[in-house]
Amino acid sequence: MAAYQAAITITGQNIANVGNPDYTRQSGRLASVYSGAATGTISPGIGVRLDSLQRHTDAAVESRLRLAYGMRSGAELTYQTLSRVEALYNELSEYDLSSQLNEFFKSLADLQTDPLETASRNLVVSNADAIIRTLQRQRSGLLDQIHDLNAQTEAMTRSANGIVEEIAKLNALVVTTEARAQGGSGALRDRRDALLRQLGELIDIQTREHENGIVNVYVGSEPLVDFDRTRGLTTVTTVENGLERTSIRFADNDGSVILRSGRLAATVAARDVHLVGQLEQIDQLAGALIYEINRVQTSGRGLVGYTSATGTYAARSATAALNSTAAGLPFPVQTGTFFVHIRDQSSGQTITRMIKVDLDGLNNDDTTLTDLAAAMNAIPGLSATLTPDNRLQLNADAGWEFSFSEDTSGALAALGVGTFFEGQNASTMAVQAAVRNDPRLIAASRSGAPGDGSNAGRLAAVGDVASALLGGLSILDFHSGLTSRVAVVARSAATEHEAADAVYSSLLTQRESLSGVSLDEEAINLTKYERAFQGASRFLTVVDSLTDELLTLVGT
Amino acid sequence: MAVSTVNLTRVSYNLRAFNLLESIRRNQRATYNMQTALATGLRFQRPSDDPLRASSAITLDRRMDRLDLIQNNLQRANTVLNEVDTSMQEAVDLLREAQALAIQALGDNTTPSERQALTVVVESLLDQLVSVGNHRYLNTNLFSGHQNIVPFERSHGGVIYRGDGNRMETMVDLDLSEDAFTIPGLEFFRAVSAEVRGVVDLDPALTADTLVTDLNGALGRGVELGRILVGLPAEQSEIDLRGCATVGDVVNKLNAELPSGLRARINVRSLELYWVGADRGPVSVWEVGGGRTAADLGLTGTFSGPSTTGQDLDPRVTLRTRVADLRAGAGVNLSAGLVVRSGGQKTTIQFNGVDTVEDILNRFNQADIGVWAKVADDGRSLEVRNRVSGVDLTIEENGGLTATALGLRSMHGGTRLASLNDGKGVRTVAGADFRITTRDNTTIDVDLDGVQTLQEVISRLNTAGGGAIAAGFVAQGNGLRIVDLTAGAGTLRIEELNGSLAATDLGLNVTATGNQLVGRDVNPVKVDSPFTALLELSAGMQVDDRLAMTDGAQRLERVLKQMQEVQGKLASQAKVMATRADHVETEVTATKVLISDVRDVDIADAAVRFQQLQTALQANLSTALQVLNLSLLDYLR
Repeated sequence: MAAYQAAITITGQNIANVGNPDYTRQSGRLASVYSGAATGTISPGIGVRLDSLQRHTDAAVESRLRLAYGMRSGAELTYQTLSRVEALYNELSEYDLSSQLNEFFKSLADLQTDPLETASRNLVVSNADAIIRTLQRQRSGLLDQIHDLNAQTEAMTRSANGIVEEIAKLNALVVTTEARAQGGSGALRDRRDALLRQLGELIDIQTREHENGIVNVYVGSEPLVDFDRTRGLTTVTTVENGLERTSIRFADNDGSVILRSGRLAATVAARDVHLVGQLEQIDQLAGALIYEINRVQTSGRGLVGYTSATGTYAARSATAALNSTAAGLPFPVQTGTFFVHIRDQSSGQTITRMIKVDLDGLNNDDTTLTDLAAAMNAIPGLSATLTPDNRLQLNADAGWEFSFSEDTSGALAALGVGTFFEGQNASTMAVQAAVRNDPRLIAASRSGAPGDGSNAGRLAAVGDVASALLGGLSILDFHSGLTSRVAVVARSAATEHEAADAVYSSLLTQRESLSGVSLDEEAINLTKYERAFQGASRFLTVVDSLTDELLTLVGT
Repeated sequence: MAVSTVNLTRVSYNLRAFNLLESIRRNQRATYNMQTALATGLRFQRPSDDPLRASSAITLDRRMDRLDLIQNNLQRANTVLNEVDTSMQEAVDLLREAQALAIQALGDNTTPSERQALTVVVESLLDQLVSVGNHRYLNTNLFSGHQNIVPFERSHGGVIYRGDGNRMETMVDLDLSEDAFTIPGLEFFRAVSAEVRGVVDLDPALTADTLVTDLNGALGRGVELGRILVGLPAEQSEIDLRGCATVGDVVNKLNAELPSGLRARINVRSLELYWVGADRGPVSVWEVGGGRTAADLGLTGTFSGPSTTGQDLDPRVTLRTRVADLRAGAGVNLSAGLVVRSGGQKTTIQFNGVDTVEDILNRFNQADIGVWAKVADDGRSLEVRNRVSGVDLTIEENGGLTATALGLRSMHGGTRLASLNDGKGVRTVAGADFRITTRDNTTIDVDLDGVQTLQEVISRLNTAGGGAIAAGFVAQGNGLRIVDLTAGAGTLRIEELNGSLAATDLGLNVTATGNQLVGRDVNPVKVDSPFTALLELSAGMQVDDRLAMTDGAQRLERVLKQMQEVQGKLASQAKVMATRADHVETEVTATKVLISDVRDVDIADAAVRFQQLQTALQANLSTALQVLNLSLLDYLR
């Protein structure tokens, strides 16, 4: 009776936990009790007892489920991250960067057709501003996401620490409980399994269960939980190229944690591969746009010239060759020439001088910033000096103005003199203040004639021309590639998520099939044990009656 | 919808719930996506929904934006061309009216006072023609070229054209190709003269600063820099000259990489290879990889000896060319200056302080004398054109040879007789054309048969004179000059023979001054424009000069024909633009169809799918309720 009462209790426990997804179905194992005493020639035994309490679990399935859980969670995070990037880019809408780039180049083509129209020039500036705003919004959105992922990394690490500490405590409890009563640690094991699944969602872990019920946890080959001790996890935030990156370390020895799968691995990968990659590409795109537009801008002339101009890019050394690392200019410079035109504002008379940029590395006479300033300073009507931070500063004599053309060296673009854009990447990109204040400086003309829009035509074609800064791709193709890649990676992340979800579902199904509680089974068991209990009770009644009969015989 | 395909041994309550939950979630997601597609009419909302189609959509959107731009450009170009055509027609109509007036004026029944009265009408037509030439469309002066300026103005004694010869261009095709949509006044109104340009090749010397792009090259096709191979019997060097901007860069690169002992330098017009120290054998220069660099640099072949000079690289004259580098480095003596006469105005241009060709041109262009000086398109010489219709331009020596040296003298040895007298030429006859009688009464008959240029006239004169006379150009001004080298009491004179008008047409039919016959300038540069024609007509009518009126009428007829030809060309251009516009329109439609194919949802298909998904969801929800409610516990008592 006691055995069946216990069996009914187990069934009750199963029924009570039917809605608990972490619960592992238990069943009692009944065994007949052999006494050794014989009744006549036979020895049928002396009843039944609950031999053991069995948890229906499969360690292999549990392990795979943990892995699948982590992979599903990681894929989900990757997909969510890329979906946010997609939402940030907002491609296929009317306000995406593709449309704005197209509008910008379109306005330059309009300027070619009508170079005298002030509205066309203002539109070029306004469209450039729109591109800058979008690039900066995208950049800042990516940075926000990186910040979010860093914060998530910290939060997940804290969470993982809590989990491993609890696992360590449960290890101790399981050992104690099992020592007191065999099979009495089912609830504790369920809790530990649930915690391992939670930990598996975060980090790719391996477990090793010992006979005494201890489960040790490993990350790669490094132990994380050893019986009731945990090494603990911590985070370290480093700053590289202005970007904060939070990484995970073992708390005890600051050793690096190798993350292969799971949500934390996905967080780090989403940040370092996808977001930082996108950020770099956005900056690369902005840099190429700045440089290529500036190169064409400095090869043409506006409706008016400059009376003064200061380069926006400083050289680290004014005495180093312009293309050297020591000079440290942000954009490439090569051997070539450019022309400086000095125009008398009253008479319109123009003087043209050629400036050579020699960077062939021969004869120790490569052009430095100081050389360039000296050569320009020798032009009548123009004074060229260097600012204290090594930027080129040009001033025309009173009544004169200057402009540039045909810069085959890229020096003006690299020094930021007479350019359309300033800045080096998406965050620092801006329309040159001089051009913003006076869009007549936009170099629509190659000859200097006001009705000549041929350079605007070249500016309009910049989007389609291969750029060395983009690996030979054009700006528009690079951007198309960038958005396409995000789409493809996001699609593949979605597919990966679906696949991981399918694997997870399949494994969960396997686990539930083995460990889940079926109310129908439990109802049958309940009826079965109830009937067995009733039978045992009835047997006792019969035995009791027989005993009474015997006692009556003895008493009479 | 099945969640898992795993073979199950038993089904737990949680599993049943999980399965139902998953299938409902998937059905709801699919229904939501389909509902969104139906609501927006778009197959996909984000690029990741369908990356391939999204990529196509982005490409097609870009194409559509470009087509939109091209459509706008073509529309504007067509509008401007129509405006230009209308203006041209107006000009042609005005000139036809002028032609009628000329015929009327030249008629015998018209009296001098009536002719004088017609002057007012012609002047009015001239003003109207100037006004037509100044037509604008929005911001565009239709006939000013690239200049933002009112192109025509009655000024400088005639009608001055301040525009240039350029056309405004716009992008007209997807391949970014461009086409012009304006026509300069220079072309339609023929508003500047033919160039005053001598036979002088200014032949600048090669310098270290000469741009490679300014070289005509040894073969006259420019210089394309690439790799060359320089070989000795026992050594060879492959030299990559790409990236060199100037001739100095090329020389530096050669010197850095030539076999040891072999050096390169500039030798006036060419590159020269020479040995420093021992001559180590013949030097061969070859192309590499099918290039043409060695040939363009004039260095192909095998050379022996201490040095070898390549072929002439023929640098072009540019604005930056230094005067000292002209004539192969000999320079040009500009000290005497030159004289420009425009109408009655004489301007002496001095060149003190000039350094570059641009400085020379600035002296002309800044003088406000209605001339336009520039480097000739072939880059060999300078040219000056008359911008003022109705006014004669001459460029003369100022006592030196500056104008001749610059090739800018308007009457020079190379001037062809056929071009003299505003293109009327020199009227000669068979046999002797004129006779010169010297002071010692020597008579010299001159026959100009077969003579083509003024230099040949001078030679013919000197030959015929047999030392009695010396013919040449005047030192001050323009015109021929005959100096009597004889002594006597007679008078030097010239008389035409056999009805020839050659002496008159050569400007020599003049009275001698002492021992010299100083001829007139018979090659003034006129602008052959309708404005000149109208001004001639007007002037002729004013003073009843039938000859001037005839000249004007003839010029009018000639230029009108030419203007109509240009108008015809413009009509063809407009037609090409219109055809382009039609073509682009077709492309726009095709692209829209493509975009629709890629992006738009098939409504019928989507509606059916939506219905299916709704039914599936309904079945899902219904079975979920029933399945979860079924339990053996219900039957326990």
